[in-house]
Amino acid sequence: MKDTPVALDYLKFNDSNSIRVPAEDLHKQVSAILQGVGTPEEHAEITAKILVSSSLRGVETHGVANVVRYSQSIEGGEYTVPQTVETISETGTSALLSCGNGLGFVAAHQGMEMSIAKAKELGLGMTTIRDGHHIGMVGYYPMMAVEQDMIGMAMTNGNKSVRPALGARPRLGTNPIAFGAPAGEERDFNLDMATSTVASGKIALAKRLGVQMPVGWTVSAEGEPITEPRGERGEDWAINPLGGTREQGSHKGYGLGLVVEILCGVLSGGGFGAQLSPGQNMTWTMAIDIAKFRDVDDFKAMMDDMIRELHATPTLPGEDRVLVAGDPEADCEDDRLVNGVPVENGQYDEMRARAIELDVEVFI
Amino acid sequence: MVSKVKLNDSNSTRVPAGALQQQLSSIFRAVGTPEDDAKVAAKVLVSASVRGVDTHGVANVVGYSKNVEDGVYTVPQKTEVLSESETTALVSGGNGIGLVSAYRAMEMAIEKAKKQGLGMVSIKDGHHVGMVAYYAMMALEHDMIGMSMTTAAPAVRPALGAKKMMGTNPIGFAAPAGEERDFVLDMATSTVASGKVALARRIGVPIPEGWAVTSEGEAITEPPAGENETWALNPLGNTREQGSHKGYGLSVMVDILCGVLSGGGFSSQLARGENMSWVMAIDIGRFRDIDEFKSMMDDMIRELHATPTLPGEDRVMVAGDPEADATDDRLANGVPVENGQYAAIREQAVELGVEVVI
Repeated sequence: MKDTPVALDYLKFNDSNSIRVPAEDLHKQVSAILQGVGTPEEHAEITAKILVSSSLRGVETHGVANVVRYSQSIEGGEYTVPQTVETISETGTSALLSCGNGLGFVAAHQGMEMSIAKAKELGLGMTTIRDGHHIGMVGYYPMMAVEQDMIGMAMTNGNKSVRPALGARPRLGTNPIAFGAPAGEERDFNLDMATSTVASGKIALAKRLGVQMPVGWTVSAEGEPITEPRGERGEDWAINPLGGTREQGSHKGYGLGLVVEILCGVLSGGGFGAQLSPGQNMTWTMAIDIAKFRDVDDFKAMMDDMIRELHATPTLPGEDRVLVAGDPEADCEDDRLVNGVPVENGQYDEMRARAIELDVEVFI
Repeated sequence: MVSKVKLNDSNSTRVPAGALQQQLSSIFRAVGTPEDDAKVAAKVLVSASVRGVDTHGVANVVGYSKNVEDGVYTVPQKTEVLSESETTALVSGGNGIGLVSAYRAMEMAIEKAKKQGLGMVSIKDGHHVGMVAYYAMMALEHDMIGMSMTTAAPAVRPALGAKKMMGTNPIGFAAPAGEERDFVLDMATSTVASGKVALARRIGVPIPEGWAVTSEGEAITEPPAGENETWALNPLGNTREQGSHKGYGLSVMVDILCGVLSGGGFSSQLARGENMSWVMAIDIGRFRDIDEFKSMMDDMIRELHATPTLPGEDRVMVAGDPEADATDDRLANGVPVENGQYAAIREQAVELGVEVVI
């Protein structure tokens, strides 16, 4: 079963449409821009670390270029900076936090740190975060747990863009789920997936690059497939939930999308997708201390066995190799740490212009 | 086509749920299952049938009780705690009836969540747990969120792969609503559960393209006769461009929580009939007022129900709606049991010398 020819490969940056920049320089630049609009150094550093990590891992849609609009959101007063991440309720294993309407990264990072600390103490830790904004690449936060020999999970909801199964209007966010677990000699398992067929960033990218989308990604309010990417969100089109159609399991992507709404939006009280404005995002994190269940080395050795077995699976005709979640990102990171991070030409210019505008040092 | 693989009154016999509970319990007892365990196993199976999840329903008592008789299941079974903390436990299902060990594990998770806010149990040495959402739903009456997952021997191919490597590895998730029906998700991480392909085969209808492929990657529409190496189910998402890596990724997540965290083994290490499981309970009251939580659940569910539909669709549903509809009907009018399966249950009762009450 060959995939229909698509422009998936066009949705990637390459050396002709982008400029390679060393990761450290990007980090300094992102941090400087954020500090240039009044973000405390510690918060700017956390945010820069996560944005650069996304760019290193090839998740461009959540990468360094976003610093421009975040800094504009801060200047425009949509983000409250400096922010106070407030603990609204807390137990030995759980916490409800308010992001204080500041940078989502800062609260999500703190949320995962708290989950990890609680898990060290009692085996499990869970935080849910309200009054929040965009947290970037959700897969970053589980990796924080993986470094501590834990399993990590994170989810985040957002303003409505995805239709429910059988429905014809957007009602849920793309609501991604991330899950990380440590391996031994193999690469760690790192799943980061929107619960829609495709993340909204991919649609925006297709629009920017002027390429068609495959049938199955989005539909009109009449349920007709759309292949011409639209820019503005509205009631006249929606992204399909993972599964796409009733027959192919759209109720599953939809159901998972609602799990995310419940853990992020309802458990925190911050609100579900249909209640959120664009730019509002509620978040949930969890850490599981593996050693409370079994020996960590045994766990990792079994992870290695599983990953090796999956890698050795015979492929579909025309495919190179079977991957495991996190492989493409780890490949990308290996390359980019050595050769620099490609930043799309237009975005590179925007970042520099923004630095100059804010009168901070230009590092890139 | 999907609706054709449903039971109806011409191919099945309606039986009251109470009689099914009694019949199943007596069959389990007759093969040596202690009374408490027999009741639990019967309850989980009857619940699946009442909810319309017929593939995981009462008819399975025949296979399970034969497994007990043949020594495939160890009964009486002991649910042994291998390691434990305030919030977690690793238990061995003692190779007994999977339904019983998953039920006991969820009881433990709920107890831990009552004390500490969260509870999680991973189960090794296990067998089939039936409808996985049952265990998540056990959390609901305690005003908790419940989660449950289970693995199985390979039936599903990885994204880009052509050979089955993972089980259909379903995920269950339940959260309480107030006036609306509770949210109950129960989904295989493959495009379809294997039971649906078997049912299509039995009923003699083709399956849609996208459910299964041959080892050469060709779409299959004729439901295959049985599990073998010549075909595999697709992961949810099906193709690279429609997100097959997502269904695949979720399925490996289930393998990690059930199989690797427990040490019981991941899908491709399991023999047919072996299943590792994982359950979790979250005490909502630790985060926020439970009534406010439920009322926001109600708001969300109403908003979703009010979504305009795609052309030709009746209404937008929320996970758990079809099962709650089936429950309303089946509690009032009896549970339809497919004629052949009805006969098989009665036959097993007669063979074991227990009273036939259905």
